[in-house]
Order: sequence, then C-alpha cells, then structure tokens
Amino acid sequence: MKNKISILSLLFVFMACGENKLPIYGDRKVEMKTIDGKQVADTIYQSVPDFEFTNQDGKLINQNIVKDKIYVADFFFVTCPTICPRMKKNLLKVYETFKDNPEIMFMSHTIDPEHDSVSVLHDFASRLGADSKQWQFLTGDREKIYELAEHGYYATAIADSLEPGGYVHSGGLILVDKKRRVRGVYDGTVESATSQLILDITTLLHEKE
Amino acid sequence: MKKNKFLVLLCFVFYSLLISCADENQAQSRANANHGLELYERMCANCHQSDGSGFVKLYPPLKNADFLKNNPKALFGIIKYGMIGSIVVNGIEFNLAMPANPKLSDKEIDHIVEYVQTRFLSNSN
Repeated sequence: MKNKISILSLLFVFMACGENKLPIYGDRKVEMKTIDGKQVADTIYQSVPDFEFTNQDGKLINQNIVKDKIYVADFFFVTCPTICPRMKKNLLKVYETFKDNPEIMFMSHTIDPEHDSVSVLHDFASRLGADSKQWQFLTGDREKIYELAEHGYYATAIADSLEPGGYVHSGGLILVDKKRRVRGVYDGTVESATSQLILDITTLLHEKE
Repeated sequence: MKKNKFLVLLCFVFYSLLISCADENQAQSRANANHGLELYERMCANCHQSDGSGFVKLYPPLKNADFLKNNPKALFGIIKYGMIGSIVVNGIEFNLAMPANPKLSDKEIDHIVEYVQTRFLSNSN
C-alpha cells in the first residue's frame, strides 16, 4: 500500500513537471528591470504587430478584437482552386470544436483584396457557416496584408502569376496566444496537423499566465 | 469432312480474336478509369471532395447531382471552360466561379467525365 502511494505521488510529480508547454516563436530580448530595489531579468518576446483591416460586415477591425484571446490566423483567397478549399475544410473543424468559446477567435485574411471585397467575403463566410463574432474575414490594403503575413505571422504570401489561382501561399494556420505571440504553425491542408492544432489550442487554454 | 474441320478452325480463330479484343477493350477501359480517378483527385477533389460530396454551400456536390443528371452533356464544357454565375444543385444555390482548365487535353477531360459519370451519377448510386 505504501509503495502504491509512493508510485502515485511520483507520477503526480512527473505530470506536474511535464506540463505541456508550446514553444514561443520569433525573436526575444532580455531587459533588466528594477523590482523592489532588485535587478530582475525580463524576457520580451516578439509579438504580432498592430493592424487595421475591414471585416466581412464592413467594420474596421484592429488588434483590440483579439485582446486577451487565443486566435488562429490564416491567409487565403476566395477563388483559390488549390489548397484553400482543404484549408477551409480543416479550419471549419477547428472552428466547430471551439464554437461559442469567447476565448477563441479566427482571423482569415484575403491575399487577393482586389477581388475579395467586403460583399464577396460576407457571402463566402455565410456559405461556410462562419459567425462574424468569432470568425473574421479581413480585407484591406494589399501591401499591409502581405507585410503582416510575412513579418507578423511568418507566412509567405507572395504574388506569383504562374501558380494556379495567381498566388503562392503557405497553407499555414498560425496559432497566436493572448499576448499576441505566435505559438504554432500548422499545415492547414493536412487533417492530422489540424487535429494537433485543436490539441494545442486546448493546451493554451489551460496555460497559466 | 475437310470442310467441317475448316469451319471449326475458322470458328476457333474468330472466337480467339473476339476474346483478345474484349480483353484489350477491358484493359483500355480500366486504364481510362484509373487515369480519370488520378486526374479527378488532382484537379477536382480539392473542392468537390474525393467522395463527390462537395463542401458546405461553397462547392457543389457531384454525387447524385440533379444538375448534371439533367444536363449530361454540360460536364465536359464546364471542366474545359469553367463556369461563372449561380446554379442550383440538389436544391442548394452555389455561386462561386469554377476555374477553366486550359492545361487539360480533351482526352483527359473525357476520362474525368467518364469517371464522374460512373462513380457519382450512375443509377446504382
């Protein structure tokens, strides 16, 4: 009996030590701070920069919409015949898993803003069954979208007229935490990768600040 | 007697030819079906899915699609030239543009059409 208790307590210790932590992507720097007269090292992580785009309802949306929320970002375009349909099918599963959870948001950015106007995005979102409270479809200035994709989310969104649909894009689903730090990038065209995304969102939901 | 033997031989030769032609036709039709499947998976399944079920209200189903059953000759042209505008398939309206496929040869499109008709539109479905 005593042995059993010791084994159980060891197991608890291991479980506590092995708390599943997701990596934090991007650069980091250490700044020294003075707290209560003591010098303390504080790590500053890279975070997604501020942004402002228009959503499928024609509303201006900025970073405040994801304040204190975990969110998934992706880059797509409505007329894409290659990877986007698969990405959207997989992302819809993630959305349905966390539907109505006020801590989770979805941010889909078009990389073809000339075609994907507010009304086109509105129609696309409603056909997909996405609620604009939780799933934003964003359009705006092409340069700003590409800049955010490349430097904010580490996705590649480079115009290439030779590719089907006229664009090359990464197919990545990017997981961002409540402090706007990238915590994972998943291949949105692969079902197992999106299952991992669902698990990792759950991990983030339980992460202590 | 000789005449009979000759007739039997002739029948045998004819029968063998018939069998080998049928085998060849079967092999050719199997090859076409495989090619149709391979092309469908590469060119069509992203949107219309491997099982032809389509995806939500964005990409119409092909499986038992009344639109295609009622317009059996339309499929070739839709694949070749694409399609814009709204259509109703099995009671649901779809309006996303289908892109043209200028890189596919007519023969390749024929194989896709054959695959779609056999797999998704035959009465056994």
